[in-house]
Amino acid sequence: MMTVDFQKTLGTFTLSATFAATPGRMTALFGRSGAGKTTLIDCLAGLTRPDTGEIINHGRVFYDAEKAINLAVQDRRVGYVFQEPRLFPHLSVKANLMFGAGRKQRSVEAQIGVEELLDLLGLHPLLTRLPHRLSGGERQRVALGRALLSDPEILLLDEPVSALDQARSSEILSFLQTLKGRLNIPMILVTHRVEDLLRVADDLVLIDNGKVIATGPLADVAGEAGFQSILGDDGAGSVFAMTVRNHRRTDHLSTLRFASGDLFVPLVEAAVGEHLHVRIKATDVAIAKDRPANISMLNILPAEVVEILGWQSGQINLRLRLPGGDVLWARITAKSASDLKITVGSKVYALIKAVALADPGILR
Amino acid sequence: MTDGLLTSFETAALWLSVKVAFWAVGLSLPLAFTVAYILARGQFYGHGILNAVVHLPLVLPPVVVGYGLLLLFARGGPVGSWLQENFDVSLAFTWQAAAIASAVMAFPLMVRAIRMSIEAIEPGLEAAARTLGASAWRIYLTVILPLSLPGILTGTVLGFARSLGEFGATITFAANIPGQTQTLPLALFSVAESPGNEVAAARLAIIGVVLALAALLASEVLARRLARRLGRQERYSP
Repeated sequence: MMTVDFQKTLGTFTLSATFAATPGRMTALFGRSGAGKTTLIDCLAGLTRPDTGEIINHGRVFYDAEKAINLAVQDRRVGYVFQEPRLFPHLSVKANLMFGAGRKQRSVEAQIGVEELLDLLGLHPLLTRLPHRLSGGERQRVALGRALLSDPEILLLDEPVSALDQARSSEILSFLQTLKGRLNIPMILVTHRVEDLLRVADDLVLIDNGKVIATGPLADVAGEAGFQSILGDDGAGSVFAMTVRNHRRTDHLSTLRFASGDLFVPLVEAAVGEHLHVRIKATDVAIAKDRPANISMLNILPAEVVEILGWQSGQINLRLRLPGGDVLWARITAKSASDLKITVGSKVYALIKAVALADPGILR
Repeated sequence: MTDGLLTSFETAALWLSVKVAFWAVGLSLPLAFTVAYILARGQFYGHGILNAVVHLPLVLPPVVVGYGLLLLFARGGPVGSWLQENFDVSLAFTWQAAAIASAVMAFPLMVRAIRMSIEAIEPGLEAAARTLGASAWRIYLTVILPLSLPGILTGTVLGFARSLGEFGATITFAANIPGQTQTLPLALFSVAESPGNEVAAARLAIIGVVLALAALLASEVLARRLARRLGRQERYSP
């Protein structure tokens, strides 16, 4: 377990971070650009020194202002994958990978062998090459391999896929997904993209303007208004952790189950029983006062309005509570809201088109 | 009188020049690298002053530098008397003095070239090396030093060329003694001073040109190899 509780002031900007990261889980630091995410993990790595507070990983004190402890970067055993690969240009891929491998082996070796890691990352054919002979995706894979081979006790990932195209970033994300099951150390991912979050995050630390505004399992934090405001105009919506219940191959549909019921979605490539995150955009949710009959919408969920937020001219956001306690956001016009006489406490039905939930709304 | 292609007078001047340049560059290179690193990466009070002092020989008349060295190293001078007392050595008017004069004159050129190379190294690489557990020394040896090789090469060639051509500081500090401190430019100066020696002067001039060309070509070949290895497009020759 890593526990973080510190403050750092840079000019007029103050970063104040309090959260915990669990071994074997991916903790995402999510927020807008400039929210202080990179400064935060630089503090964890020891590249930036906090002003007050403490940082402890697995019983080892990285930083403690009161006891004047500030462990040197090279002694913290952090695996840090930066936004840009930062490979040593004069060293071969193999020499890059082995740069940190001289450290006394402790934890990773026991869980992932060198050979297996090279296989997983597809690095065998690249070993003798120099970094400038690699593509962007290959470089980032080497950087990831290099960080892991240094036998870290915590893995820090600073927007590792933001510079890559869709296909390359998808590759890296599925590798991270595989890694989670194998690595029993805290993994911290900095990102500003909700897609990355849905793919690999287990826990979410929401950061806005230097403050941690919410922490917890992804699906819980995703219901918070703070998350909605970071997602912005187009992205606002809800995220649910669901389980694949069955596939209806003839209808080309899958049924996903969550606390508030079942949801039909276009057929997903996932095994029955598998867990995935589903994102439902607020603009894909319609509202009815009575349960509609003879309608094309496959997903009709009973809900209660718990909050009404003005959005922009003529539009409003409704925060709905589903039977299982989940939060669903819906965006409708102010006119519909007044026509339907929607107030806090109204019982309504939330209508969700199944086709709106096709990829990339559903991500493992 | 003739020794194959060259006269013994020319051979003496040529070898003395090479020896002086070699020692001048060899002695100042480690210090030039250290100063370049401090200037490139250090943030401290007096950064500007250090930078100015390093560049002083570039803007001062060489005679002033030579005279300053003479004052320092002369028998009564602060460094000269210390050397005399502790080692019974007097440097003024020896080939070592010529090497020191060349080293001082070449120093700013070497620092500049190496500093540019160090500044071109992505600063993130050092942070990455630290997260991988590398000590400051290991980073210096395995990251900074190899990546500044292009600058070290350029600096060495520039320093070598500057030493070969050094005149004012050398003649002031080391004097013009044939076989001892008479390097190529000094020999050329002596020969050209007396009338009727046009051929001898031209021969010395040609030797100087050939020597400089050889150094430049050698550095070009090395620079290309380095650039290819690092996958860079730029050329590092001066």
